[in-house]
Amino acid sequence: MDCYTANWNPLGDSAFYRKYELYSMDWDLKEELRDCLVAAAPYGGPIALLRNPWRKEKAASVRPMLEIYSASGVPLVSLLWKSGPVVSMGWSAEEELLCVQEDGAVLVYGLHGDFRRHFSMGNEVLQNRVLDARIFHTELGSGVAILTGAHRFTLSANVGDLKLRRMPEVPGLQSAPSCWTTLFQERVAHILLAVGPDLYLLDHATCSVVTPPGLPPGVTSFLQMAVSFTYRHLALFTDTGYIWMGTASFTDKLCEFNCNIRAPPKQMVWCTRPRSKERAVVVAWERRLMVVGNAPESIQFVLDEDSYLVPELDGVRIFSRNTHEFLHEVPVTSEEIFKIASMAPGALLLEAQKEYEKESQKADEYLREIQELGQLTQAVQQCIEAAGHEHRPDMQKSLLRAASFGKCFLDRFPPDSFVRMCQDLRVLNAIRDYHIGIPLTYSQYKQLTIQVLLDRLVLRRLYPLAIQICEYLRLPEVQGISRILAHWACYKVQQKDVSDEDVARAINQKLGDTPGVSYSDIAARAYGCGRTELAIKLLEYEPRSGEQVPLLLKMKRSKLALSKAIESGDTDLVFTVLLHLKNELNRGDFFMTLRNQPMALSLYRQRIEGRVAALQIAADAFYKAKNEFAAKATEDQMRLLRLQRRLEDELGGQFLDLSLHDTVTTLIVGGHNKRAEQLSRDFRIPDKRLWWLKLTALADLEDWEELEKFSKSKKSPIGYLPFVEICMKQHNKYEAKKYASRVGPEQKVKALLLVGDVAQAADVAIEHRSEAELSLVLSHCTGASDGATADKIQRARTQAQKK
Amino acid sequence: MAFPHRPDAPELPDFSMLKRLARDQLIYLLEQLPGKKDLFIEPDLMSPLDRIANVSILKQHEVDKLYKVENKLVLSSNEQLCFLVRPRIKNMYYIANLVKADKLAGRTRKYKVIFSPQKFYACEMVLEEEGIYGDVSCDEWAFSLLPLDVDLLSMELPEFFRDYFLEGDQRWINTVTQALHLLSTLYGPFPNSYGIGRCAKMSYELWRKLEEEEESETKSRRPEIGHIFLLDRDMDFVTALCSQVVYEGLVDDTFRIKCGSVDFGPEVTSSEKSLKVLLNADDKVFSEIRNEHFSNVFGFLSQKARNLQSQYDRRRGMDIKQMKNFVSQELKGLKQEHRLLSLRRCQLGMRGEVTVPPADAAKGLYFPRRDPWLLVGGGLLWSQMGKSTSTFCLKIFFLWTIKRHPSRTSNVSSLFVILADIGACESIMKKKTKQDFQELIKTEHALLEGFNIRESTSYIEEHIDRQVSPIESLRLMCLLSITENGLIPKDYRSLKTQYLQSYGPEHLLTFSNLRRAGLLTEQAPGDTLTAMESKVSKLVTDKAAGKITDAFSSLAKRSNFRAISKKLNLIPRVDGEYDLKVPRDMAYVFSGAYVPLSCRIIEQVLERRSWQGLEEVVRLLNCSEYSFAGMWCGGCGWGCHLVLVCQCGAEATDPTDMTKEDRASSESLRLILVVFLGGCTFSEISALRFLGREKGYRFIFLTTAVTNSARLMEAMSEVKT
Repeated sequence: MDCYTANWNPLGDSAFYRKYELYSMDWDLKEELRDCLVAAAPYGGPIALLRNPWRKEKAASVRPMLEIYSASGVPLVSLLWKSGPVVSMGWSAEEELLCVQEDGAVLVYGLHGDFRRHFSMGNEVLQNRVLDARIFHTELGSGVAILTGAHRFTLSANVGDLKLRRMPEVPGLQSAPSCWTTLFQERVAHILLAVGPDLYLLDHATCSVVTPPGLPPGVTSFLQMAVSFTYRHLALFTDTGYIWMGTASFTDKLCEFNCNIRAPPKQMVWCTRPRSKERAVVVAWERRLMVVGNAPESIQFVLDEDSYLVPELDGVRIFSRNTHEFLHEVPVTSEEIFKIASMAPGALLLEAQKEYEKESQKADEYLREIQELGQLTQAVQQCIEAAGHEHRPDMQKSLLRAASFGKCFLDRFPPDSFVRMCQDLRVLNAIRDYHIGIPLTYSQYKQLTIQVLLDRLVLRRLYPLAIQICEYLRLPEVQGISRILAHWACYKVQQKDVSDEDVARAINQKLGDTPGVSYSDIAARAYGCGRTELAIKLLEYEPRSGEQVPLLLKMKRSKLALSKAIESGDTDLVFTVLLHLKNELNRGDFFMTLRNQPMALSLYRQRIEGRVAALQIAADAFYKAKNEFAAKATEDQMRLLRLQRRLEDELGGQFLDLSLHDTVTTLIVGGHNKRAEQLSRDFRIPDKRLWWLKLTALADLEDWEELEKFSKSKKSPIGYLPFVEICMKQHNKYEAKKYASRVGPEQKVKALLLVGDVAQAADVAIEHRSEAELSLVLSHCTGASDGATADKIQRARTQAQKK
Repeated sequence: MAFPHRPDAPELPDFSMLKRLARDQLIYLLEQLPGKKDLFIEPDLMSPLDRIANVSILKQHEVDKLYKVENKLVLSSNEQLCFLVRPRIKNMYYIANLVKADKLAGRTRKYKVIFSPQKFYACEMVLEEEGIYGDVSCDEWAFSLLPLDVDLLSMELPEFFRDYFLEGDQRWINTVTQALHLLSTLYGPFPNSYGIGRCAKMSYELWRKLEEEEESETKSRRPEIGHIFLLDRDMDFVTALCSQVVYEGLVDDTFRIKCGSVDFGPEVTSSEKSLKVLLNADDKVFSEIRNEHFSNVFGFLSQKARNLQSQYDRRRGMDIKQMKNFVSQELKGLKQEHRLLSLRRCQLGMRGEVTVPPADAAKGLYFPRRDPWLLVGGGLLWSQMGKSTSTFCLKIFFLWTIKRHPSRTSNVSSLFVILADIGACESIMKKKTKQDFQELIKTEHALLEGFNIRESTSYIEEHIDRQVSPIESLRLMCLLSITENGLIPKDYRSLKTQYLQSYGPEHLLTFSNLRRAGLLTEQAPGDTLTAMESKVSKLVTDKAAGKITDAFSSLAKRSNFRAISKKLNLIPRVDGEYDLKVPRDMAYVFSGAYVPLSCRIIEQVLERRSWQGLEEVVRLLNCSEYSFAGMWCGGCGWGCHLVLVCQCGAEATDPTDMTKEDRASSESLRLILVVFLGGCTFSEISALRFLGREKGYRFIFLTTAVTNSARLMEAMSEVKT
């Protein structure tokens, strides 16, 4: 126990600061850190080094190296810097590396050195060069502020949504400010700069002089300034070795300290945490590190080598060539438990548990002591909480064990805080692992949230770990695994050395039907990498046509898009494609394309609802004009249009634009007799028309059986002669004869002649004693076979004449 | 068979002058744009232009390429563009687009727009609005009269009908006036003028004004054309709506004669390419059959071919060996055609009143028994085919003749025409028997005579129900409406409903058009108008009552066909068969069932030399105010002034007042110019030709366009095919 608090350093009366090693770095740096441009991301993020930063005196052939390491010093990427001289680097909240060049261009790189994009900080910079730049993080995102050669500031509060703000000029500013920083108050970014003894605050419109309250006289210059992680506090280091600490709004002074070192510090950062007892600033010189706060004494450390400070939410990370350490104020619970001679319930419980393991009865004593005070619950909670703040797993374990032990003596202690802490610690230990190298503290982790952490793992291409974490934490698939898999797939499609088939298959195997995975997104990414074929293959797996079509259109696979859209049955989608096609293709090609897609063609021709609406207006106008007939006809047409569309939906085929008659015919030819009848009833088609229509349609189908059935359904309103005619037209004499016998007497002769039964026709004609009919039959008597018939008629004629 | 003209029939004036005139003017206009140029021609103007100046003439005048004025833009590389267009707004936009595209591309070219027959201010306005008025030069090509035949002048303005009779657009009247003026300048003044119809009167008055302004020249000339008769198409829709059975009319109905020539498709020529045949009086065979009733034509053609055949020396230069060679060589090609032909092997003939024995004719004609060709080639083919079509045999014969007797081209060509005509006949028969033509004709006759109206109505209904043809159905409905003075409301509704169900609701607009034009109307429900009419007429005197009735009937656009028919005896009373071979009157053009109303009016007026005695008819035509007759004042020679006679000639100078000398000279002027405003049909032309032969007149026809029932209906239709 005594050794545990060995690295605790008290500052003032209340607070202890401890520094412990996170990793021993093995990044094998050849140069000193001071020779490099360094950028380290907060929240245990990666470290970027630009070795050999551009120096004008050096030959241009020596290009600097840009290297990116994880926080544990594992090299991620190393590439030759080929662009212009870099003034400053920094990481955005999305862990993208922003490199501000001298010419004002900001190049954005990914974690793995992949170039993302670039933007410029304005034209003015081109002439004046960038003197200095800062990347800062606010709740709006990551911002960039630059100081130009003309001593003007330009800043953009969010690089994601680039809006450049040129800050007002500082009156009488001739040389570069001795130090400057960005402030963020009330959702607006400001710039604070120090020129000689004066401090200026720049916002969008004004430049105002500010004076920190309680600043002793005699200050001629400010050498360094530091803003806290939350932009709430500000620290100023003057040339007299005096450190002023106060609120960033310059309303209060918190404390001051005189270190009597006049050399300008290399870095100065705040070291606080939420609900911090003490407000302290860490100041670093070449070989000296000093923690100063509201206390006459400061904590001093000796730095063995060049070090770099990274401010964090709850402390400061310090890394050098060999080590990576974390300096922070000891959390309250840890302090209470581990403080020497602490009688806090947590401390007692930890002691009790230790005794219990030693099988000593002291355990009981301690427990009783806690229970007597009624503080067991509190004790357990303390232990759980303290475990979270411990870096070393053995300490975490012993604290958790104590908590679990204490829990046994409690009724109804809700277990979830304990369980959650166990889970969180497991995750934290996993990511703190040397290979992963994300040294998050518990409070940082809570601030960052698991989602962001997963994103960062994905960004580091640590897909298996991310998935395991998801599974372990039982995160919902859509938020967790699917998202990661989708990212993985997007990464996968960028592997250009693998063939399209293999990639597609691998992706499909892994993703399967995982809910929430959007194949179209992956395909879009594939298309972005120029792998159109792969994209199409991936789109095949996309179950939602609505997602497939836009991408296909983007890839100029319009015809495929059209067929997909049609398959989807979504009219809107088809229209989208059609409109797109219409713009893209010339008229001829457009209609050729449509010709192969009758459904699309019909859709194109009719925007049904539009037409119905137009017809409605027409009908209204007809009513106003008192043209009832036309109004009625228009309404019927509206009804028909709607019905036709429904038929097309349900039966397929083309119905639109057909007249009522043709619609019914099409239905009959298609074998939908029921619907045909329904339609004819709905629109009150007269019997005669229906019979003609059915007759023609059935004859066209050569469905003689149905025709016969139909003919017998009731007495034909059009007679049976048309049946004979139509059968003969189809050269079906056999069927025609069937109907010829049913033809009424006045048309019988004609029918018989049609089927070629001259003899019988003659008989009938003679029976009718009709001169016209007789001569008609006679004119049909040709050839030898009809000779007898002809004679018969002649005889009948003479007989008739006799009478 | 063709009826000779009476010996005293006057000679026709030479209208080829009109062609020359038009050609010269066009060349002059083209020369205005010296150097090479591309010519853009309106599709409607292509066939007329072809009759005036063919491509080689155009090329002579440095026309480089010819383009059709269509929707799509053409890329022409020439520096000078010339547009030959009808004055239509649509064309102006086409030109504007072309010019603007050039401007965008930074090209400067010369543009010339030639409007035919005249330019309209509206067109220039469009050019101005489009901002290209300064870039183009505009000209007029006053080409308004195209002589289609020796006695037929067409203005080739089919849109006249719709524009005037439906839209009430009078812009073409000026064109008509110009055309009349041109004729009177070239062929002397017209001593006697008659006319009926609003448009006719308007044209006439405008024309007179024009004449008076430039009187000096014309009055000195001796008139060549004695009478001019102007007639509005809406005076007589019935004739135009009937099915034509005169050969030329039938060809027009079936194949559409376009600008005096017809394209016979493969089904007629029985070869793969279609044949373009110019139909006019120069074609001897055609000129003999054009005015014949269709039933006579086939027999006539057979006869004609037989005669031609007999002219050949059968024996000379023809040995069997040669024949064999020829047949075996040709057979290869012919087999191909045989396949095509076998599709239409069944020879069609009309049965009933029109009896044509095509098979007999073919046998008799093409396989003369003693011809060695029959023995070799014919026999071979005959046995191969089993059965023959006359055209096919004729084709072989024809080919053989050309091979054997290249010198006898004159005969060959006339044979060829017969071939085409026979092909046409066959095709017509095929079409006409497809939808029982006889039934159709019967129904039409019933409608004209006004009996069995119910039956006819149900026939029309069946026609619609069977979806025979939208245009045909519409025609029958219109015929029914006009002859019956409007449909009774119930029929009107039910027929319309049936029609819409069969052919689609777009025709609602067509019906509205037809109603406006008075072609398809509804009898006033409850006879509100009639009731009003009788009430009002009680209050006023008899003379005024007539006027009121006129006003009312014109309000309702009544046709009063039945009454007119009775008055003018349009339906001839015939006992027994009407002999179509030897026609007695103009009714033969409709198989003896109906005398065309328009022709009857002309006949009557010419007989009377005025409208006297026709007052009732004029009143029934709702044209009391629009009929006129005028003549040059007899007293002081030709062309002093004109007495315009309105109101049925009530104030006309009595023709008997004219001096004998004058009368004699006007009698000698037996040339009559008939102007059909809104188009005339070939049946009417045939009927008047017949009338001319009977009475010793010669008729000259001037029409805005040759029309037929289908064209009329299409002009009214809102559904563009």
